[in-house]
Amino acid sequence: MNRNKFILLPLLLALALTIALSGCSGSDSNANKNGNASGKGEAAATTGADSGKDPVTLEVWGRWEEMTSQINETISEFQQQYPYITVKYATVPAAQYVAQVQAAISGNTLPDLFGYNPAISTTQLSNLGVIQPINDVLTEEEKAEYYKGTWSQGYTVVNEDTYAFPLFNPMRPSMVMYYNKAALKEAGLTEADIPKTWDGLYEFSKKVKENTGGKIYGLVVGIKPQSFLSGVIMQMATAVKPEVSPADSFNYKTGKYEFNSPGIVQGLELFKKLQDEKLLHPNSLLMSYREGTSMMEAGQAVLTMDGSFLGSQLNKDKLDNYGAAPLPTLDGKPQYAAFQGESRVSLYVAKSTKHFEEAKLFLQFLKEHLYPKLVRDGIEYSPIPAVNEATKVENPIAEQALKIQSETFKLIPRPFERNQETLKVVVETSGKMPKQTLSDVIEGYLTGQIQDVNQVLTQLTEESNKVFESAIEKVRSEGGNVSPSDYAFEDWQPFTPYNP
Amino acid sequence: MSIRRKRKIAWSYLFLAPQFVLLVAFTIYPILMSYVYSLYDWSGIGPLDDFVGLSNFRAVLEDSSFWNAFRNNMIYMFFLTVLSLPTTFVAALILNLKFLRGRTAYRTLLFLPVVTTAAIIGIVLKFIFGNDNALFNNVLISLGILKEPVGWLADPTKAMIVLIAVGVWKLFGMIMIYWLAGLQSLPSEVFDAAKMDGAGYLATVRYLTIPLLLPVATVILLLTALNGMHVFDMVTTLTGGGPYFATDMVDLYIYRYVFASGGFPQMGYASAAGIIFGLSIFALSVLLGGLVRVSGGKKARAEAGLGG
Repeated sequence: MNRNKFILLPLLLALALTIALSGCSGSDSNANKNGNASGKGEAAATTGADSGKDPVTLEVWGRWEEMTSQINETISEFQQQYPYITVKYATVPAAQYVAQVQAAISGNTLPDLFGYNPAISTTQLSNLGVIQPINDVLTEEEKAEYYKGTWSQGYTVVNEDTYAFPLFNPMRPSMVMYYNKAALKEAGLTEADIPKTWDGLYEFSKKVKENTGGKIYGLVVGIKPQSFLSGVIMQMATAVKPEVSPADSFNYKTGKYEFNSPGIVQGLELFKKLQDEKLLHPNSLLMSYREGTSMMEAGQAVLTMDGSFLGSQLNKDKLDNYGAAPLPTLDGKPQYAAFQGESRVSLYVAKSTKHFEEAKLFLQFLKEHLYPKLVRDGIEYSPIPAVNEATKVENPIAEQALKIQSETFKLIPRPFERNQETLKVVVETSGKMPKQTLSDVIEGYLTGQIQDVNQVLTQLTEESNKVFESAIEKVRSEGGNVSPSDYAFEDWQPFTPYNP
Repeated sequence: MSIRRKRKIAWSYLFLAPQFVLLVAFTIYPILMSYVYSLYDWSGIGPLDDFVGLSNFRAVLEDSSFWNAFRNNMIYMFFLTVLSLPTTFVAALILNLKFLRGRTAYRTLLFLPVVTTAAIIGIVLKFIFGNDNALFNNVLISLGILKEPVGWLADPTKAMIVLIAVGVWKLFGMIMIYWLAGLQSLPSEVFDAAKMDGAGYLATVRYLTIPLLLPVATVILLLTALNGMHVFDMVTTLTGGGPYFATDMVDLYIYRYVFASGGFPQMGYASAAGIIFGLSIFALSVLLGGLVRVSGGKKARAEAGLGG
């Protein structure tokens, strides 16, 4: 028995010590993992008490990895200007962002500021009472500096109150084609050969494979989640049937979903042809978008298609080796990306925050100090045109991509501007659209599991319209004044900004 | 009952209490509440105020995607069981041979996949079974078995074969240990007697080992089958349920409605799907549990026959 005590006591002591030590080190290691600048802030915060203000810590959740460096730089400057405020910024992986916000809402543990996500509309969050208005962060004069359409119902504004603070230019991201110059040269081709049409893309891919003996492919596009191939095809399809929005395959002339539009079907058939003739890099079917673009960077394929943000993520030491070009379309005709006033990169202030004044200070600081950095480093244009014109983009590829993007985006009809009750339909359809998406259909078609893609897309269209119509009926049954005609804009001319 | 015994029992309950509280909080309560949630159209946030009765259950049962995932689960479970049981039995027989040197090392090597995180296995194997410039294809091409790379994970049938093979490999060590435990619990006098009667090794296995191991075998069958119903982590990282839902499993189907719905989660619908799946697993357990009981009777007869 005494021997057992001799063994047990040290073990218990060791356990207690381990628990105590791990508790002490927790918050610092978390902060460093997220790459935020809280270290300096904590040192500064201890002097905050000296300046007479109680130290404040602001917790911020973002989901945009591409701007981590710029926001940390801005946070450092902010904490130097306001030593009593520490900002703990965390980039939450996109795949788990919705789940994390959902859990935080349920547990009433939202951070002081958190980012917008298209899956959870501003209207929903406002209805739940978890975000608060930030009307006095910007004056009306300051708001007028932003791109037209930035302050839109259901996105940044609900009724008369502003809820979201935009960080990026709202007209983003468009899909762009990138190329590797060294791989292009090895294939015996030049930048003049970069395709502008679908036939051109096919011939280009054939030439690359033949000229390199199969060592290099013409095109690589990762289709596994996360993938942007559906966005690529929908954008290219606007050159065939522009009434169908590339954002969500909704036809704003008829007021219905149209996944089986000729442009989308033909776009899919193009990629199927490339796949079947082994002109699309075979690993495309296994990789995510980022893995796919890495293969282009490594020279295993000449072309890749991705969002405009890829420009700022390419290897900075090899930028001379890359180029950007618009996506090819069926016969070279114009294409567009749709803008409906959605500021996809914006921050909310949680209603549960105990530091509303400090949160407002932070947002105002971001306007002055973050926006120029985003443009300087080619991450994204800011939401203020004057800042974009005054700031030089130091990344030439990002500059090319952003220029293509700004020429691609067009303002399309917005049902919520015509009838605000349509926002209730957005809430009602949330999470209920078919789980089989266009991305899934692309995968099934390219792997040969779907033989008749038109039939599957027609089924997807019917199921989506069924959910949409049911949502309208439900809103009407609850007293809402909304009808399918709110979504049909017969006077709209695609490619022309819609200003009723 | 003496005071000492009462005190012992009280201490036992005290030590059990934390585990019991956790069991209630994280297992029993969620299961009970899922039955409640399944009757509502609820996103998981806000009040439970949209009662829909059995609509969620009806929608799940009418959803072809659910049945696709269920069918895939059954296929995976079936082949996992059919391939694992005999091969692990043979491995256990070999590793139970007294004259085999390095038995401990072999057991450790075979058990290593069991303790490796399934999600990591999925990520690593995704690159090994990739298309171009992937290890598996390169080895087969260099051996002359293939002329060009095969898309192992890009073909629906091949992806399921890879998933099953990886599942068998991962579980191999665990089932082998079960068999070994069973083999080592068998009475040695029976085998000594058979040896004295001139029975060879294969005859011993056929007429003694297998009948005596029947109860253990049915328990192993039950455990393996149930294991085959939960394969979320490896499927998510290895195939993502693809290509095009060819390896979609019910766990992943439910996850999609809760965490990847493209909007607010559909907690009510996902709860209904979970209940239907849970009841299926329960039915399977009852069926296989019946086999365990029946085989217990057969063992008694086998032992009686030996004694006679």
